Amino acid sequence: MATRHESIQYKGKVIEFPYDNQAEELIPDEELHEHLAKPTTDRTKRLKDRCRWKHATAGEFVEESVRAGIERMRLLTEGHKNSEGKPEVLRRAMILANILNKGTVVLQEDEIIVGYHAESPNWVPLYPELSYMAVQDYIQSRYAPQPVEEAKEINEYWKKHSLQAKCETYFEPIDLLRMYQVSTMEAPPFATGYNSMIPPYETVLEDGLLKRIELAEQHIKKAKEELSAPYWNAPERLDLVPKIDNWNAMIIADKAVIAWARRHARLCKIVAENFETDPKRKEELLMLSDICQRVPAEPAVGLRDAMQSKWFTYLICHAIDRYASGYAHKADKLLWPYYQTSIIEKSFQPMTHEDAVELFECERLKISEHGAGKSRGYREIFPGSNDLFIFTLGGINRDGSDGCNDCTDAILEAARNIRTTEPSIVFRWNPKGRLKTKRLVFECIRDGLGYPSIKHDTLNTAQMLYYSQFSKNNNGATIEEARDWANVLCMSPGLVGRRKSQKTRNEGGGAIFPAKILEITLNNGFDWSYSDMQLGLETGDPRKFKTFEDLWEAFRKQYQYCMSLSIRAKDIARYWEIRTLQMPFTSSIDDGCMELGMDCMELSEQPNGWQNPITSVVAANSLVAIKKLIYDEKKYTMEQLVEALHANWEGFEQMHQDFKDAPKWGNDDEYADPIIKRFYEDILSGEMVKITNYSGGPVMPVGQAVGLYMEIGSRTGPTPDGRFGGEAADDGGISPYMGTDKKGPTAVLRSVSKVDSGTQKANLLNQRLSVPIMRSVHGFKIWLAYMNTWCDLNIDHVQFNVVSTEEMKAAQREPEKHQDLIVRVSGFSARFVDISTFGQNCIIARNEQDFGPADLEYLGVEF
Amino acid sequence: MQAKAKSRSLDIRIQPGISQSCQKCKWGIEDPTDPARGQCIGSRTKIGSIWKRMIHDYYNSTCEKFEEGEVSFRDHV
Repeated sequence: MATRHESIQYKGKVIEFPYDNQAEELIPDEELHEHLAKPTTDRTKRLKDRCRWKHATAGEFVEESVRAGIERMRLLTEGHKNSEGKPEVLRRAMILANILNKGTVVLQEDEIIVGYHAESPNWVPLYPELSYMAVQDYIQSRYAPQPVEEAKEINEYWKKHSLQAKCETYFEPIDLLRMYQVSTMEAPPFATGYNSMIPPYETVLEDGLLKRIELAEQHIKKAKEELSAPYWNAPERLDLVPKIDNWNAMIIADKAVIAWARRHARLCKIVAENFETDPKRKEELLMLSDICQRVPAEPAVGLRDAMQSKWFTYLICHAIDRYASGYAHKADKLLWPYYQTSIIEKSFQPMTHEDAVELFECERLKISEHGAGKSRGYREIFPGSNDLFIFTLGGINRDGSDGCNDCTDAILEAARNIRTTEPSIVFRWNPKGRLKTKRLVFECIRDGLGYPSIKHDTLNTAQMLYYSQFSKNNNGATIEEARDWANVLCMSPGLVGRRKSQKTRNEGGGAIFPAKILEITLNNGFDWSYSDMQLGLETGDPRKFKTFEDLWEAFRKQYQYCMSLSIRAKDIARYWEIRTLQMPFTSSIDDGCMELGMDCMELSEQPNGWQNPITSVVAANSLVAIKKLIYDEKKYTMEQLVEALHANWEGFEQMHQDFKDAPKWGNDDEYADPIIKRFYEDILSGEMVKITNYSGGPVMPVGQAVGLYMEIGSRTGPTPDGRFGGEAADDGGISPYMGTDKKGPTAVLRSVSKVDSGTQKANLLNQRLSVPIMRSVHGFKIWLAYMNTWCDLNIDHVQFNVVSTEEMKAAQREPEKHQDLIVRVSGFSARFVDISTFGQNCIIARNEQDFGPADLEYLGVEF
Repeated sequence: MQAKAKSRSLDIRIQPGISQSCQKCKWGIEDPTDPARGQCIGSRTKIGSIWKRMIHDYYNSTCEKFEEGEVSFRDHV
């Protein structure tokens, strides 16, 4: 039997909490999640059953069949060698064409969205042009591309041509070593190949690539006329030469993409006419053939066109031309016109709402088996999942009206029904958002998917306008464009639309780790616990610090050193991306690049700089404990603290207890909260915004965690908050440390709201809510009141786990029976049984927030 | 305090050409960024977390706790 929440005495009444669905009361707590999946059709059930998942954990792929393919790296290298002597941007287009013209085209049974980016749907492609170290790791592993000798030869070739090789020359070996440690700061993208972007899908769906080719041809024609006009003027005209190269490269790339899509059309037709025996599937294949023949060459007309065209564009931008994590787009806005055509008007590709839900379930399964050829580091930090695939829904439209529509609902229903860890969803919470859609958001969360995560719509729209003022060409976001945003990855917003979207992680992304920075600050910049080397600046012997401010300022210097180095590394990578990693296809579908004849690596109209502080709360709680026990109360000396930390608290049990008992974040505490507010505003943000990046704007903090909170914890020694060496850090940018938020969910909200959201680009709040409350008849009412209060308090973000300890422990005992148990780690959802035991325990240890009478009163709940 | 105040004692030592190198040890894994280096994952805390240690010379280092085998992903971070 399911556990029912105890009744509550509230405003003179006794409130009972029967389950919303009475039948659920018969399901034991230990197996609830195994009863929630309801694939809409037999097809999606079959596709889920045979899905080629690519979850990774601890740097290893969980499924045995995953391997790295050699095809992309072989064709890339061949294209690079064959195009020697050409302008670089043309080389990049020719390389893409070589991969698309010669690469294997994949078609799988049952699919109604086709296309893959490696020679086998079990395999992942590699990117030696980005990081030779990342490829070397694959070569050494059991996933090595075959023949391995050829892979080695290819990687050797790229050692001198890769982005990594080009960038490394600008750094001292000690700086590279410090960055590659990934303990005070994340390694730069040029060392890992990790990337993120937002393709302008809108132009592909609305215009089609033939129109984009025509536009480029018109620009070339006009430019050539200008070049040949009388009275040659070099300062005015010579810039047209590289523009002509860019437009020509766009044309080559677009033609190659059209030809590649049409190879899929031919394959579908060949299979339909020669091999398929099921008449219904034969008809489907002929339909798919027709779609791939038309899109992305032509504009999408119906929903099936739009989904296929989007998928092709995604594969090119995120996996074939270059690797980029993410699945950033505003899906309901992008697809709404096609939903209207097919489902409401039924004028092209007519279908029902349920057919649309099936299509969205198929999309989720395509993403679930997408193979990211990412480095070992990134196979470690999203444990139990594939990659950071995240799209955005809700919010408001460009004209300020409610952005929720029936397409939003179909996408949410698909997510709820099929239950996959990927892709995750962000929901933009706006008071204008319709209740019907918010109810579906609730149902996904209540069912334990961990998504949608919620972002404050108004705050983030304002942020887009804030960044626009720094635009280098005075063409940042207008108010209408600022309303059109999606998360780039799990936390940070960026513009979507026909132009001005982010195209590289060197603009924003990458992490910095305050807990480790504090650790080395307490050791004069030396890392005694992990790397045994001078990891930062020499900021002085902390035992000689006379005041708390001395420590504060020493930390500031260490932090600034890491920040400046991190952003310098990204901007140097940007410098070389502009010169050697152009993306002519992506440029061709960006209106700004098309108009100005610029490559998308170079053109930056809307700055969007950020870096992710991860482990901030461990550092902040530690500073609170130091201030209280050493400088205010003088119960201990800094010398004693350093000694106790170097002993991992062994032999200092009472002292450990005192530091552990010091006030902690998330309890609406009068002592801790002002110090932590200052930490976020004065240091984490205050120091970051002093930096200006390539795009001319400030860099702002995006507090979050992903799986790095465990990984960095394992590289961080004991900390003054009472944590032992190696233990996990905090699981979110502004989330209380696990188990230390003891005063209920509304105390957490009050603490978090004290940090001015306008000083931060984003901040992840991870909360775990009670299953019996959320599944009760009052669940939606209480959650809605919570969300409205959260919104009124101007908090940037919140995400939820709704899963019982009983069920997680049952899954630890019998993992094979709990394949559908999903949990929110931080910024992504994971299959619980694919996480390490330690990672599982960290999620179990999170405080499950219940709602008592005081909370309900604060939220204004009426029964 | 001088920079070399203290370092963790896990007895990892450099021994060029050693056959029982960290790279071949159950508790050694490639550094996730630079596979020429390594990490020791053999040190566990009371609640089961791993307190890692960087191994700068992964192919020429060893210690007394050398053990052959592989660690399941369930026993990692």
